[in-house]
Amino acid sequence: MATEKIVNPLISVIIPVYNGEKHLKQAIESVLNQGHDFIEIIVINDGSFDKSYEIINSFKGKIRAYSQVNSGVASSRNLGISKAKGLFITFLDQDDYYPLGRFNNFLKTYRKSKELIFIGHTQYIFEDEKAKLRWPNLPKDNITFVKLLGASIFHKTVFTDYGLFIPELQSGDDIEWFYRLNQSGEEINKSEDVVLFYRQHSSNVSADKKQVDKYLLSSLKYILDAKKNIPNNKN
Amino acid sequence: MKNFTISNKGVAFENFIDEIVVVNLPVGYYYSLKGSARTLFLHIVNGSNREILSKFIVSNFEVTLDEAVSAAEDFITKLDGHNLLVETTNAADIIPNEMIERTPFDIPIIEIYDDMKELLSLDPIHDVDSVQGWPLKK
Repeated sequence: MATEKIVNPLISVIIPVYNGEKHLKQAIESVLNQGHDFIEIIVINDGSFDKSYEIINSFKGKIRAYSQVNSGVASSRNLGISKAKGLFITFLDQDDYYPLGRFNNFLKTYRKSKELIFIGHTQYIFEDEKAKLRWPNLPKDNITFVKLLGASIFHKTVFTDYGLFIPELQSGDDIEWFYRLNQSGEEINKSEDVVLFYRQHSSNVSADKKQVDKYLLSSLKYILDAKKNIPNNKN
Repeated sequence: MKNFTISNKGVAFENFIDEIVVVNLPVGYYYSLKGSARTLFLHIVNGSNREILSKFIVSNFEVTLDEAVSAAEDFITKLDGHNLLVETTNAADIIPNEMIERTPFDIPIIEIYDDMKELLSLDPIHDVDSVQGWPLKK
């Protein structure tokens, strides 16, 4: 599939938000600070009941914002994709942020490449030493290549060709989606540049672990059923 | 005799209606257990050993003791080989119960998948907190 080689293609950055008051401002500003006028920011407020709404409103005129009844991150991402006008689409979680120049290498690369997916390196940002304990295999500089939505840029046709996120999977949706992408054999353009600061918290780790595991395992179950051509059951 | 249970160090599992799905995050493998494998796995969750597992198989399935011993040995060896087990002091002996209706025995099969290693070993999934919202990562 040929990519349209526009010099500066519009890039839609989708930020799903649910009670993200703590870091949301930094996340949005990290996109605005890129200084490009070919970026549109789409914020999906997924029924937040903290000060997220006020923070989103404070960026009026600089972002496009939509609200929905709390439906989960996958549903929010899908709504963002449906509203995106960009030739390329990327994502940013409410507690992560972009480094300056996040799109520079992409723009240089995309013009010369045939791929529709671009993924850069991620730098893990630890809020405290305890948070770091979870990642013993990370390199010393905390920079690694991992398939994260925030570290990726997708040509919009990727979502029409391979589908949207599965809302039932809650926050395991990206795992299942990347699995689907892997299965497609679609080539990925990998960059050595750090394109995402990925914040790691230590709070509530044990309390959340069971729920996190449940989402992950539900995604794996979904994948297993798909492998075996079993209609997905919600159990 | 060593007693085993399912490890909680990087290992998680979920019991779905027809299948147990297990993930070993440090190595990025995931597993599917159905039928007798699912039943045996759930038994081991509460603590067991080779001898008790053999008795459990005999008391629940239509097998000879020799077949049960072999199946128990093989099942525990496979789980242990994938670092899915840890030692425990808990292991309740099996009291034969003639009231239990024994069912045909299918050889326990552990399906092993490594096609998600790249995604699972760095565990990109987000923490979710019902009050604090998502995505709140580990």
